[in-house]
Order: sequence, then structure tokens, then C-alpha cells
Amino acid sequence: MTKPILDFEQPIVQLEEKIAEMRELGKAIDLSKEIAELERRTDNLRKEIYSNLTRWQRIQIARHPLRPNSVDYIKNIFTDFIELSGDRVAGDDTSIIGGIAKIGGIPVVVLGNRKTKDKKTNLYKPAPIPSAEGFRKATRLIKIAERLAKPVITLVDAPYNVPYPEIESPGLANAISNQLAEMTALRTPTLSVVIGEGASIAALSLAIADRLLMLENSWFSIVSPEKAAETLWGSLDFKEQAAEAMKPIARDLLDLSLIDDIVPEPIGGAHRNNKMMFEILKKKLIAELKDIRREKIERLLKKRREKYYAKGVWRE
Amino acid sequence: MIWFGKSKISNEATELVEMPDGLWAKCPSCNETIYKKELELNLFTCFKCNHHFKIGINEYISLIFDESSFKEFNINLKAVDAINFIDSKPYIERIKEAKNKSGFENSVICGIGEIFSHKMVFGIMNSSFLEGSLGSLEIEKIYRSVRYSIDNRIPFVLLFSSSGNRIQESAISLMQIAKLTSAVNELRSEGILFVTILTEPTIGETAFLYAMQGDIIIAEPGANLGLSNKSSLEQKSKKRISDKFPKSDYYFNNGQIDIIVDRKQLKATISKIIDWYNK
Repeated sequence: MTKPILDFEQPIVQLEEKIAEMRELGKAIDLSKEIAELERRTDNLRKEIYSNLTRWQRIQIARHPLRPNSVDYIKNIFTDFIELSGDRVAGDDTSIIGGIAKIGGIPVVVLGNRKTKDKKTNLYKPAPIPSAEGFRKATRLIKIAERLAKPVITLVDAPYNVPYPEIESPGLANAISNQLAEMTALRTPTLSVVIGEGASIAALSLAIADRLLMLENSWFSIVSPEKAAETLWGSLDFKEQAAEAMKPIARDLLDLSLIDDIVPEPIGGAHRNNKMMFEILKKKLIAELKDIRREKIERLLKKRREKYYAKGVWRE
Repeated sequence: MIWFGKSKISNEATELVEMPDGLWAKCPSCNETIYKKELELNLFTCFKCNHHFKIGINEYISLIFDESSFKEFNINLKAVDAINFIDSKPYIERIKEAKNKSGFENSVICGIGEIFSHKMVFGIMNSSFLEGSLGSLEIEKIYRSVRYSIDNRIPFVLLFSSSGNRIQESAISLMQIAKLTSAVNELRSEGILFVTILTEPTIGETAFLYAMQGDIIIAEPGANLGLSNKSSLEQKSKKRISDKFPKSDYYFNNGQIDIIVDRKQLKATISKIIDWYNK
């Protein structure tokens, strides 16, 4: 299997390969000076490339097939995970993963969008938009958390899927609508983190929370840049311009006070150093969780409502 | 009757195929030739096939409310472009164009009025303004009306006519769904009646999800409804699919809406519901 490499990562990957080659050679002759020099150049190049990423490039990082996904995070930063299944009405939609788990010893209910593996390439594909069964499962799990007084953590990774089957299943809108309503009024602390893509209602239905975080290279908006380009510019060719205009990256949302904080990623993106990413996110989630658990639930609910009431721009 | 802006029927009832003499029109559904004055008296429904012509805010307000009883809220709220959005045109430019085209300041009118002497807080969308998409200004207007409903314990009725997302407000417009959902939750927990009326078209995620939050959900016959945006489906399948797009009866038959109400019965139906609630 060849590793998928983004075009702007290419020069760095080439240098890294060169360094690896020289290390191999270095076993026979002393190349430490040359290697050190090459490493310095690589570091500089990394800094230069990754501090000047366009929004479209960041979206490519957010969609990277090797980027850690919800299942990876559940495995690596939570313990004692037991997956819970089914909506108790019609079936189980595996595009939503959820269950009971602990993080830093704190019992929680954890939920996320689950990507599927492509059998041919063995790479992850974006998660499909959940069906009514998926949204109902999500609602069932957060209601369990509420009843049993456990906080909820959601890992959002929802691409824009255009949009629904030609004739949508009758109960879909109702299932989404209920999920949104329950998230806004859930009587237990809630913490969400956008780990990759955060498109439209599939993302929002897991992202209404007391604290909403975004990983540095993740994005969040009403539609994808591709969809915006088609709708407003009239052609997919304008997707990069659309990505710039929409300001959908974590930094943009923090500047607009739409999210509570950014979770930094290892240089080059989460997929360049999974282990480091797990450590950073775990630490951050535990800190935030401890913080929101301190609040009385009535106060937390009032703050959550008022947070959303204040969102938006107008003048009068 | 109060007229808002400079809107006239000809402006908003877009499907009306006018005859050259200007007095007669054709029904797009059954091709019947209709005398326009009579069509107006029949509340813009076809005599022959009961096709419901698309009508605008003014027509709905005059057919629902007691004469001169409707008063608009928050007329001075104006749209702002927080992210300096420019596609082929700046967002603010598009708003100006929509204003000129529709005669309205934005895509929602909210206010209070009386319906057979029952008070009712009312919001109505205008699909001729940027497809009736809901930006943060529009949601703020609806939010304030919900607050007014709660503070004064008056039922809230929201009439939908919307077919798009306000892409130009990007993440801000997505967050508005959480804002209005929170407000509707509060309305529910305060025990205030919330009725939604779905008219042609109520499509796209934003509009249809709000529409599904009503205690009682009413739809006009033959309205295009659903989460999917028709234009994007058409783009995807490269053919016109409007004809087989699910309409009111599909959602009614599948248990998603309470009543399909003929426009001529709309006022009577709403007032009965509000009378029941107030008693």
C-alpha cells in the first residue's frame, strides 16, 4: 500500500525519505553532519509550509485518509469502552459509533461519526450521513447519559453528503429534529470536538454542547466548499475560493466566537503523529470535562442556551 | 389590510402563466384558463384542480389575520456580513439585489395579530428573498418573537416558505439551527403552543428541521417538502426531478405531518387550534 500524500506535503516527505536513506548509509560511514543539516532544512521547510497553509489545504488535512478518526480516538484515549447498538425502533446504523467508556477515570458516554474502510485500498472513507436509525441511536445514548448522570463527549467527523436519497425516509427529519432538541436541553454536561469535517446538520446534531472544541485543521460550516462553489459560483472549479470565502477552519470559528477553543495538532497535522495527537486531545478533554462538571446543571443549561442565543450578527 | 414593501401578487406568484391581455392566466397544473380576479377571490387556488398557487407574505397575512390587526416586530433589524463573504458578488450586494427584487428587507416578517379576535404571534418566510434562506438576522427576528410569545404567553405560529441555506453566512448560519432549537425548547417547556405551517416550498435542512419542531404541523396541499434541496438533487442526477419530488401527501401518508389544510380553510383551522389552546 502506498501512503496517500498531499501535494503540499510532497517536498517534506521527499526530504524525510532522503534522511532515512542517509541514516541507513550512516551505519557504514559518518554522515551525522549532513543528516543534521538536512534535518534542519526539513524543520524549516515544515514550519514554512505549515504556517502558510491555505484553508483549502487545511481541509485536505481534515480529510486525510490516515487522519485519526473517532474509532482511533475511542481506542486510544478512552478506556473500558463498551459499544451500545440500535435505536430500539428499526435497526442499528453503524455510521454512528457510541457507548459507555471512561476517560482519565471519569465515566462518560462517547459518541461519534464512524468512517468505513474501503476494502480495495484499505483506507478510510468519509462517514455517510446517518440514517434515522443513526440519529435515534445517538438520542438514545445521550438520554442514557442524562438519566444516569454521566457527561457526554462527541467526536464530530461529518462530511457534506449531497444530500439525502432522492426520496428521504419519512422519519429522518423528525429523528434529526429530536436529536437537536435533546442536545440543546440535555441535563448533563456535554463536550464536543470536531476532529475532521463538520458539515451541516450531521455535524451540528452532535456538536451542540456546553463546550465545542475544534482540532486545528478541522472545518465546520453549513455546506462543503464544493457545494458552495457549485451553488454560488456555478462550478466546482471555485472550491478553493469558496473555502477561503467561507472561513470554515477552527481559527476562523474561534475568531467569530462560534467555538470555545482550538485543540492544537502536531506539526503537519494529526496524521503525522497520531500518538502525540492522542495525548494532546486526551489532556484537553479531561481538563474541559473537569471544568464543566463543576457547574450546577441548571446553571450549565442556562449558559448553554444563552451561548446559542447570542450567536449571529445583525444591526439595528 | 397592510401592505409591506412594494410587493404585488404578480411579483411573488411566480408560476402564474399570464395571458397577453393581462386579465386571464393559466393553471400550471391542469392548464385551465382562469380569470385573474376570480383567482384572487378563490385565494389563489385553482377552481378545477385545487392547485395552490404560490402566494406571498402580504396575501397570507391578509387571509389569516383579522383586518388591520397585524403589527410587525423589529422592523429596524438589518443584515450584516460578518465574514466579508464574496463569491461572484459580495454578500451585501446580493442582499441589496434581493431587496430591490422582492420589496422586502429580508426573508422573514414577524409580528403579532388577531385571528377571530385570538392573539397570535406569527412569523412568515418569503421565498422570493434569497430563496427564503435564513440568515442570522432572520433567526434573530424569529427568536425575539419566540421570546415575546413566552413573556406574554401567546401562541406562536410559523409559516414556512424557504428552499435554501444561507451559505454566505457559513458556520454562523449553521449555528442558528442550535439557536432556534433552543428557543423552541424553551417555548415547549413553558407550555406555549407552537404551530408550523408548511407551504410551497419547505425544503432544505434549515427550514424543514424547524418545521418538524411544531406541536402541530400543518401543510398546504401539493407543497414540496423535505430535507433535500431540489436544485442540488437535480444537479446530482443531471435531470429535472421536480415532478417526483415528495410533496405534502407523501409526508402525511408516512405520519410526519398532522393535517393537510386547503388554503380556504387555513384561517378557520388555525383559529380553532388557538381557541382550543386558550380555553
